[in-house]
Order: sequence, then C-alpha cells, then structure tokens
Amino acid sequence: MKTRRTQQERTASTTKDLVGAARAHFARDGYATASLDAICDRAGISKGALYHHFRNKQTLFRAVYEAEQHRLRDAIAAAFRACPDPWDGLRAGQRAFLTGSIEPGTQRITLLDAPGALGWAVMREVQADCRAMTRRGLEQAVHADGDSAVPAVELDAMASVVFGALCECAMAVAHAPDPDAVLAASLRQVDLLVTALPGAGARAV
Amino acid sequence: MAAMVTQARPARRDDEPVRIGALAPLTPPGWAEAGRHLVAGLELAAREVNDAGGIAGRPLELVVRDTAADPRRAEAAVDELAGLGVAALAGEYHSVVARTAAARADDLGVPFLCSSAVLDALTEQPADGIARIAPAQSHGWRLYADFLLGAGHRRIAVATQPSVYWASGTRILHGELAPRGGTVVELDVGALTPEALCDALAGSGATALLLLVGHPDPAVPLVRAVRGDPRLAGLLIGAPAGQPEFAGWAAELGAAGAGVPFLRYLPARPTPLGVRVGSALRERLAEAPSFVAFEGYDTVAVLADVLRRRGAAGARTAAWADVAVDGTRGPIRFSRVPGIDVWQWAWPPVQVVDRDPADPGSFRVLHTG
Repeated sequence: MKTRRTQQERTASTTKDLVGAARAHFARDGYATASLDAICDRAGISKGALYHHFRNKQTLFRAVYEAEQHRLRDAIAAAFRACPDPWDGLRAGQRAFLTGSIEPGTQRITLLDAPGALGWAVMREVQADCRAMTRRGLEQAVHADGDSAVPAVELDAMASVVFGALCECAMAVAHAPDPDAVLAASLRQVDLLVTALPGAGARAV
Repeated sequence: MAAMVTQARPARRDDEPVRIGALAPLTPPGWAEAGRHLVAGLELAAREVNDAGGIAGRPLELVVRDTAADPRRAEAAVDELAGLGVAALAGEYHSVVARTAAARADDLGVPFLCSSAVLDALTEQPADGIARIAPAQSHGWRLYADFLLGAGHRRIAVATQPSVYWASGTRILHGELAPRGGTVVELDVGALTPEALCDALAGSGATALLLLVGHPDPAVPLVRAVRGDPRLAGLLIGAPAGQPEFAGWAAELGAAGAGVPFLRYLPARPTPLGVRVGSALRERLAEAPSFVAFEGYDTVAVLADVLRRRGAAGARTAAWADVAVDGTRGPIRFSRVPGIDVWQWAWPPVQVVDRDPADPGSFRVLHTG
C-alpha cells in the first residue's frame, strides 16, 4: 500500500537532495564559482524551491559545511568507540579527523572556502561538535584510571591544544605540495602530542 | 647579456631526437610492477613510431625517470626533463605523484599526458596543457559501487591508509552508496593490526571489505588474515584500485587472492590494434600485459599524433581537443568533463573483474560500464 509522505518528510528529502547536489558543485567548482542554477538542475528542483529552503547561496553553503563537519564528528566518534582503551580511541579519533579532512572536495569546502564564505565566528560555531567530541574523548581518557582530579578548565585547555593542532595540521596538509607526506608526519606528531598529555604517558604507544 | 640575446640558437639537426619525458614508479615504495608495465607500453609505442619514420623524420626518444611514489622526486624530474627540452611529459601511475607532476608541468608550460593516475583533482585549477588517458576515479569507482549494490552488498567496510587518493575513493563510495541505502564503515589500517581489523569486521555487519591500501603491504597480510578468519567466511574482499591485476598479487596470495573484484580499463572485446599490441607487450614483458601497459602505449600514440600534426614546438600549446587517435582500447578523444580540470578521454572502457578461483591465472568479467 502506498503511503503519502508528510510535508515534513518531503521537506527533509528536498533539503537532502539540495545539500547533496550543492556538495558536489561546491567541492568541484568552489564557493565563488558554483552556480545555483547548476545545483538546482542536479537536484531536480526549481530555483524557487531552493529559495524556499535556503535564503541564499551562503546558507546553502553553510548546510553543506555542517554536513561535512557532522561526517567528521561521526568519524571521530566511530573511531573512538571501536577502541577499548580510551587513549587509543583518542588517537584513532584524531586520525579519523585528519584523514577525513584530506579528500580534495572536503578540503575545498571546509579548509579553503569556508573561512571566506562563512567567517570565523560561524565556522567556530559549526566546528563546535568536532571540538566537543575531542573534549569528550579526552575526558574519558583522562578519567579512565578513576582520576577525576582534572578540573574542567584544564580539560577545556587540553581540548583547545589538541583540536587546535588538528585544525592547523589539516590546513597544512591542504596546502602541501606533498599532502600524503605531510599527513603522515602530522599523524606522528599528533600521536606524540597525545602521549604528552597528563595520564597518557604510561600508555604511550 | 647582449651577446646572449643576439646569439643565434644552433640550427636544429633533422636527426635530433624529439624527446618525451616519461614518469613511472620503478622502485618501492612505488608500485614497481605497474611502472614496469607502463614503461613497456610507452617504449613499445615509441619503437613503433620510430619504425614508421618517427616525428617528421626525427626519432622519438623516451627519457624515463623513476618517481618511486615520491611527489618530490616527480617534481625534480619534471624540472630536469623540462630543462632537457622535452616536447611533452607522459606517464605516472600514482595519483598523488601525478598531481604534483601535473602542477609543475603546468607551471613550466610543458604538456603532460597522464596515462594512469585517476584522482579526479589531478590539478587544482583548469589546466589546458594537461590531459589524461585513464578514467577519473569518480567514473570507475561509481561503476564499482554499482557492482557492489547489484551483488546485494549494502554495508561496506573499507580498510584505508591515510592518503589523498584513498580518502577520495572513500568519499566517492560514500557518495554513491549512501543515497541508495548503503553505508560505508571506515577502518584505519594504520591504527589496527590485521587481527584487530578482523575483530572489527566481525562485529561490523559488513558483507564486503574493500582494500584501499598499498600493495603488497599491508594488502597481502590483510587478505591472509581475513581469508584465515572463520568468522569472515562469507565476506567479499574487493580492491577497486586494481591491486589483484598484477602477477605479484597471484604469486604472493595464490588461491587466497582469487575472487577479489577490481577495476581494469580494458574493453569487452579487444580491438585489432589491441590484439596486436597485446601480443607484442606479452613478448616484451614475458607475462600477460596489464591494462597499464596499454595505457602507456596509447599515451605515446596520442603524443606522436600531436607532435606530427603540430611539430615538437607546437606541442607546448597542445590542443588536446583536436586529437583523434585509434587507441588499443578504442577511439581516443579528449573533452572537458564537469568536475575534471584537465582534458579527459571520456571514457576508456571500464570493467570489474576478478581472478577466477578455479584458475587464479585467468580473469572473469563481473560487470562492465
């Protein structure tokens, strides 16, 4: 029996199609040159329908950027969960974030175009999930041995150190003539950084 | 300085060779077997060009440089070859290396016909001097995703190494599978031993594992570990990047390496030229030629056509749009393809094949584009 989709389901489906089509064009053409007409053609919807869901090109780009960040956040979480030891999980999550950032389309959207298209404040707001995931991983690792003495402000600072390093490494990889070599070196250095954190030394790999 | 400006260039002798710089991985960590096949194809075509009178009477000379999967070596090689005055550059198998070579060639204004690297983002911006024989990764891997879905696989695990090439492949698979109800589970082989990877697979619900990793290490130990794990008996192992194509795969893995579907760029029925070139390549390589050898042959065939029509100097402003060459795998034309910033042969034939478990020395065609 056919069931009619609700308005909410239709909206969700159209939004998903639009974001998928926009992702392909922003990844390929960059924010400045991607054409909204081409995105509508690809998604199979009218320009009017696009403007019903997104105010302008920037809000559509923000939705694409959010989807990329959610994918990275989920990759961090999945990698963390796959490791019984939270310190291993933390390292695995960092690897997932960095390796997930190097696909050329992701680089173009998240590292090259987003700063100009969205501005620092919006980027930081959207990145909050990935940062929070890093902090949660750190919290679990630091407290794994039953040591709950690390104050929240210290955990915040540790998360800033680790997530800041990750973002800078991702940016360095994006601009490197030899990205694989820079990525490999970045992964080694981020591992060392984690090893230096309080409570991690005894578990150093 | 004035003397330099007014000094006449030495007259070109008619027997002075027209040089093509060839880039290929010939030593590890490059995939040397692929490089050997690539160079065999390039050399065979160059010999045939010379047997047919060369380029307007001048011999065609290949100057081969080993890139060893190292983008910095490739960059240095492009600089050196440009300094030697090559009319064009050809070759390269590894995508990350080809990307660096393409960027440098574009900077220096030397035409580059990339034979075998598939990364969509071969250049970061439109590059008129660069063209490609191999299909783009998104084209071939989309077909591979079709094959997986058609075979009933919805939950796909990928064992990956950190690399732009493998990350691009993962993203393509995700983009193709997710809208059609499929999911991709990523497993980082840099963080997992083969045994730990098997544990993760056993609990993942995946029905297929794709090897987005280098060959022979860690691909070979991974295949051995998975094949030896009774929990994973029904799991399909796939290798879209083509690792099982080469004899080294079969030699190291034997029957365990059979039944691993991969992409190769050969037609369902070889052209008459393909049959003749295949025989010559088999003799030259003392084994069955890989599609990479055909890509090498086609690359020099195209460059010879461009050089004959435009002259060696004219090739520096190569007009890829004018090319019309009958290659070993079909007619070769170049066009602009959305999402690809170089001139692209759209498209060479694409197949999904595997080594026959009943006879690992032969291949079965499972799916065609």
